[in-house]
Amino acid sequence: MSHELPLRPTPAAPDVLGGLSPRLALLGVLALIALVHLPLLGFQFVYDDGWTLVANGFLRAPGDLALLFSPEALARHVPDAFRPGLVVFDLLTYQLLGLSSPLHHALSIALHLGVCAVLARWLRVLGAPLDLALGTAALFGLLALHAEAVAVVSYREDLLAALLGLAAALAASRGRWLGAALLSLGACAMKLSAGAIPALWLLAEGLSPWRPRPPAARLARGALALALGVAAVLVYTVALYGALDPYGADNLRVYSHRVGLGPVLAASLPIHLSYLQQMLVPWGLSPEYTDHGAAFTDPATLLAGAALLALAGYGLACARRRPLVALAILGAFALALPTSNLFPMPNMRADRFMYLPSVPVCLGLVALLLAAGRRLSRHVPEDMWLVARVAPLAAVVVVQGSVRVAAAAVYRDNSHLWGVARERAPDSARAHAALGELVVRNVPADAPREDKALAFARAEAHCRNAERHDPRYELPQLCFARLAAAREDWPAAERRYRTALAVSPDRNAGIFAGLAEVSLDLPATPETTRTDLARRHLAEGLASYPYSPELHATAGRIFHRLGDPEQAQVHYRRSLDLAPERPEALLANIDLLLDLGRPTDATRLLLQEKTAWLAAHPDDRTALVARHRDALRLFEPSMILSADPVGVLAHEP
Amino acid sequence: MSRKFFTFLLLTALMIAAGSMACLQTVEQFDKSDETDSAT
Repeated sequence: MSHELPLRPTPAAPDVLGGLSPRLALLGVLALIALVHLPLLGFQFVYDDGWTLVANGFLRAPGDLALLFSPEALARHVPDAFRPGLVVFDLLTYQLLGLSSPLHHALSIALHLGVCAVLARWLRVLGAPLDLALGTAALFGLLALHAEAVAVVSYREDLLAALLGLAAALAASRGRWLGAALLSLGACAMKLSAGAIPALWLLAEGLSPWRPRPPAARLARGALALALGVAAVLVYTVALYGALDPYGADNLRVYSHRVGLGPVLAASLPIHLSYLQQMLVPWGLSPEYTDHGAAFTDPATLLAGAALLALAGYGLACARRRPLVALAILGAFALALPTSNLFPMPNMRADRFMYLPSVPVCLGLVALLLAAGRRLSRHVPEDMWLVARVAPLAAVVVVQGSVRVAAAAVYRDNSHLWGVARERAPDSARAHAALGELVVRNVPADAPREDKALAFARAEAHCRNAERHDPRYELPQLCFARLAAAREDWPAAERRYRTALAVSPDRNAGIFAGLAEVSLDLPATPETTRTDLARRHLAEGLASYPYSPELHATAGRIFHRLGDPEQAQVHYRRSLDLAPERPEALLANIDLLLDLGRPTDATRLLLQEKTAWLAAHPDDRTALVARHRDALRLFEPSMILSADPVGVLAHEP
Repeated sequence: MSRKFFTFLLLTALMIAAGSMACLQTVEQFDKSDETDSAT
């Protein structure tokens, strides 16, 4: 069928869209894509959203933004510091949208629509016919494999990289070299997966499927402009991290650091063949995949390698006679390169990695489906001609869109996400550990003892499974530590937290907080040792993670327990500043003020922090209101009348 | 032509809505699954 693909420009070819305005048609396609994405507005923050948005105190400290471009960003463990553009974008959107999940999801949908619009525009500038450009935008916009990238707020890094990367390609195709360089810089500052955009642009302009090839000098200038943006971000990464790998050479989350690059690359071959299958037939999508190695002599590796090699060879062979086929195949290979595990990656496989590489695949697939439609239209009556032309493309878009909606539903909340992740990747340590922690967290404090014991046993099964699947990973240890803390088995919790800290390369604020908290309760340990331990863990944690609201809230609680109200208040205040939406620090601070006999200060604080107050559990609020009333009755009159001994005595029972 | 085009888009949206319901039933099964046995 591929012989029917357009080989060279065919201006006289009949247009399936008749005299429809291209802008209006594109708006219609975008409206369809937006409509299909509406359910996302009801989704919560999941996955890495907690780390990059919900609990990222750096976003609440815009005054510290300049630190992002200095080694301090690493010293203070600013999340995603090696993607400075993304951090700036997150900071701006947090300041504008707060922590409203519907608004952040709406923004992700808008970015995705932007990618589709820019893609269609770029194809038109390259000379592609309107039906091909619109069909590609529609298929890309509804491709089931993109469910993860659009449904998870923090994965807008992929959307932003694609949006700016394709805009850079569009600018280069229009000869706007400065704009191309700046947009390419912006794209790579969001995520370095956009580093392959210059290759895609060169392929699109060099193969030039729809118009005469531009002169070599123009190609060189465009590629240079786009490559300059990529180079700038690479230089920035090396300057900040001392290497191209921002994850660190001893980071055990990068599987190639455990087993070597060879086994990871061998396993990557079947993974990439699976990606292709998922793009063509949306089956086997998952929020979680387990990292694994393979041998180059494994039958699956050999077969997948041969298939990919044959595909790449076919793409090269098509360069002269079928440039569109060559662009679809070679473009996908080029765009998949940054996430192909050749470079260190904390996940070997994820659906979102194919967001940008699916662009040329969608283009090739739509060209194929339109060609199939043309062939089909020859065998139907004239009044069915139009329907037959678009029927194959429409059928594929409907199937992809239907699976897309269902696949996106997996990401609506964390418990659902990790439940499905465990089903799809039963040997995933991360899925089991996350489920174990969710089970522990969801046990009500006032649950009957038998119910608690059952829930803890269930959580322990998840923790054990997680540890069995990956004993060198911090999450199973954290699962055990939090379970032990819930069971008030402080020595076990302390031991597990220490083990977690020993293997964890990053994101350790929670571990330091846990260690400090359980240290205070260690049995058979002198009080001075326990308080020294707690203070030491706190100091170490706060020095490394000064933007962690969780760590500051823990520090407040610990100083509160140690009888240091000034320090406790400082940390509660800082925690509230770093996460004004989280109620823990506010409730604890009100508790502290009531302990100090200052109910009017507690009222004032509550009125200042209404958002956090309303986010607290109603039971906690009711309990505090009752305490507050008691405090007002007990303390405040005596404070007011303290200058008058008679008045004080008058209130004596 | 534009009326035909937008009717086509609307039909596509309706078909996706219907198709997604069929696919969602599969996802819902995960919701109802009792993990007590599989976890242990």
